[in-house]
Amino acid sequence: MVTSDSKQQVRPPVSRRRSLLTATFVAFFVGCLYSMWDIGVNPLTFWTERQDLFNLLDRMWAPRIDEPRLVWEAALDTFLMAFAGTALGVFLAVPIAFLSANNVVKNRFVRGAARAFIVVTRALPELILALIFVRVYSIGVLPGVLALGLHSIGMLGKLFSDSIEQIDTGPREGVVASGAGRLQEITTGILPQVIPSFIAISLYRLDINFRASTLLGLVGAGGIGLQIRAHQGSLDYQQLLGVTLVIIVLIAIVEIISSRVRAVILGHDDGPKKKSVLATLGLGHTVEAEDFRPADGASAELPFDREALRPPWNRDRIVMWIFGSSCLAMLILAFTVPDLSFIEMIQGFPQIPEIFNNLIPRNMDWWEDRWGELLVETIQMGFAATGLSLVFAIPTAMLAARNVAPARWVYNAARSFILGVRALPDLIVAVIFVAALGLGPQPGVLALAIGLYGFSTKLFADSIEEIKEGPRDGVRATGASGLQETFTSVLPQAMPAIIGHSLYVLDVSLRASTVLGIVGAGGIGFPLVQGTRLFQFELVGGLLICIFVLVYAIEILSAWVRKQVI
Amino acid sequence: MKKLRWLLATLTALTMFAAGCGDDDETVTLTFGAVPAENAQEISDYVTPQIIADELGVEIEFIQAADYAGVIEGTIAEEVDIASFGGFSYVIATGAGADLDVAGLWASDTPDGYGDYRSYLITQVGSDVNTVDDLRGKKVCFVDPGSTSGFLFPSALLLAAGIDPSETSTDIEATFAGGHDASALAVANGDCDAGFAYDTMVTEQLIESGDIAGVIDEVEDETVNGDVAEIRIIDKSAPIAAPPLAVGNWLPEDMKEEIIEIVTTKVNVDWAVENGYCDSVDDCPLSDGPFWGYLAGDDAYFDPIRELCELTGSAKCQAD
Repeated sequence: MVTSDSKQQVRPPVSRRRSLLTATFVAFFVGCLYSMWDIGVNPLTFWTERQDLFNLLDRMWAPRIDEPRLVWEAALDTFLMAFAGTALGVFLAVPIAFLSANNVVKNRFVRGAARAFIVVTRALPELILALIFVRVYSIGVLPGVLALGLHSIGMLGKLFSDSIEQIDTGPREGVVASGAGRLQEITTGILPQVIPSFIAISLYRLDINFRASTLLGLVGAGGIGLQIRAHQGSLDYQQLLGVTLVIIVLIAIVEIISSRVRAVILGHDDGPKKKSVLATLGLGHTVEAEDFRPADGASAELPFDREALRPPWNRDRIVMWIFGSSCLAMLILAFTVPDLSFIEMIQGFPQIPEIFNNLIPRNMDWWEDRWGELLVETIQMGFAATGLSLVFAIPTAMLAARNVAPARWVYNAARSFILGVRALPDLIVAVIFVAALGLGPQPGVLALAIGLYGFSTKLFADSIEEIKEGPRDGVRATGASGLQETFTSVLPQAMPAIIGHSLYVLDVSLRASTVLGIVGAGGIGFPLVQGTRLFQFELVGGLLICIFVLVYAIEILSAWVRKQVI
Repeated sequence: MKKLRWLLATLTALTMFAAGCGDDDETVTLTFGAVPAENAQEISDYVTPQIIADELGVEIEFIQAADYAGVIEGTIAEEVDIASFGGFSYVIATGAGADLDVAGLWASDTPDGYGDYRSYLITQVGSDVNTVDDLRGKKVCFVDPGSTSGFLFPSALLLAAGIDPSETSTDIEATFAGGHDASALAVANGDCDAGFAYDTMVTEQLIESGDIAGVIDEVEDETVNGDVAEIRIIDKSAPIAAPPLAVGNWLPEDMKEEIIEIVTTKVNVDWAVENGYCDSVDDCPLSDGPFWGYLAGDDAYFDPIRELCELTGSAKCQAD
């Protein structure tokens, strides 16, 4: 007999997890709606402001590049800057990652210090680091490399340290049992295991850094962004569009190459079997006849055909060889281009502690109430851009999820569309929107929303693709329509992931909104840029601390909530 | 197809829902835009927007752009209703289609006539740059591609010496510091080998603010604290036309007339002191530098700057 009692049993209990999920959702939703209302943007803004956007597009048409040679050189500089920055980041992040891994360093203070360093470098936007380094090394590629390198430690250090902590303890114990010293234990027991993921992570970072490096020129740190700034400053929008298109194509190419190579390294191409990169590169120790010399000194003889031990020259190995040697070539090139001299870098090092020392506020003289208002505005911009992007991202994500998309071609079209949108640097969109729609937070929010839209659609689509088919089949078997099926079996399953990802999007959005002021799009970035221009270091330092607290608080909150809901 | 249809429905519903939250203003709000010509900390304290707001009975939103292009674009997009910028910015904006009128022209110390000012070429004390010719191969700080005394007049000076001043120049390394103060400070700090800034920024404002200790004038006799000076003036431009306060023709005709009336009769230190906006004539921050107020003027006043702009051959001076 069906009673109300048994009905209650079917309903999931009101658990802590569920109420938290609801509370987060409501707070997040209210935050986004309020911010959108207060800043004065909504999804229709794109439509109501279309006239201004079209006017600007009209002035931008047709894109042209007067001096292709300069653009090509700048593009190469940008790539080398990203490459050198990533290399510097990896170089610095590896030791720090080892120091912060709990299975390598037992001393909690050392580990804590290493983690703190990782957290701080992650919270400082590379654009702002670049602004500061431009002060030390003056305009050029060098400050860009340092900014990218330092900021990269944040992500690289954390992910490297995670993969060190996840190693298989077997080989390490074996090495220790054979009497290896501490250094030998690390180099032979740990390093070979983590190198594939180190390389994959570094490649991913190279992809991210290349995106970032196209913007660094906006603050004078060299590369193609300098051209964007010059064309914007002289209102030459046809060339601005020309250079922007070049940047989009380059970013898309780098992303495709980077993800292909990553797939090869992590062995996605040949099933679950993970391959050592060293083996793929053929750099591992080759077995020699000597290894089999019997103890009594009899002549050595290999018990098998040596050729069989060499990794075959298959497609993966060729890809890896090409990749490896181009990395080496890039590295040499990156550090030998005229603009980027090691000597200049080292000569500038003594100034860096001084600059950072100057950044420490001695008192609160730098504080003005306006900074408080701008900080609130920055947070609102972050929320509003997130809200705006989600309105468009969730429907698009369904079209871009293989298992929900109405047709294969829709799926393909949606995925390529997202790739294109993702290749559009948000700050360049902001430059264009500020020109078309005027100054202040609205154009910044709209620009940021476009960037976040590409990013969040991809995250959402991926998590919709991961849902279980069972509940869908069940719902479909009861005769549900497509709409009912999606609302009762697809969305509820994907919801925790969507909420978790939304918080991550918010995290990313807030970071980005701190620098939008650089191009006049509102928020705390503006006084920050003015402060660096005018050498008001205590003000810059004070604002940096504010940004750090803001970004770090959101990161902790978002990580905590994500842990609860997913 | 069913799926696609409901997706479109969802999209529409969400869009309409969120659109309902847009704000609609009741009071008239005008936007006052200013370029970062000078210290960002002080510019928002200027009382000019306040006088216009009070006298006109409207709200004024003050916007400070990150660069000159921000205000210029703001006037083209009709987002900035009243713009405070230089003559060159006005010429670029009107040339690019901004429908602007001159609300007032700057008068420096007295209401007797338009003020003029000059652009100074400065270098560090002890630098080997002594003339414009010495700038070849050096890093030169300009203010902004839209600045009159920070780019247009300096460009003319360099072109006369046969040096290409553009961003893509191979004769010099051209850098835009973003503000007159930033340009002068970059020279004082050695970030730039030489740079341009407007006259009183170098000889008064930065010294009063304590950012530089003194300046040596090698052209005329404007040396201040020469014994401790960090920078020296090695060249000066011809006098530059007074900067305008511009107003958008898209505003209702009677409102525009009223704004012009207020600007030319009330935005001056005498009126401001009488009506309690400032304590004294000497301490009345209507704008930066020596500033008495605004006098009536017209668009034709900027024709010489239009001609100079065309002489420099810059793309932004060519009417599209």
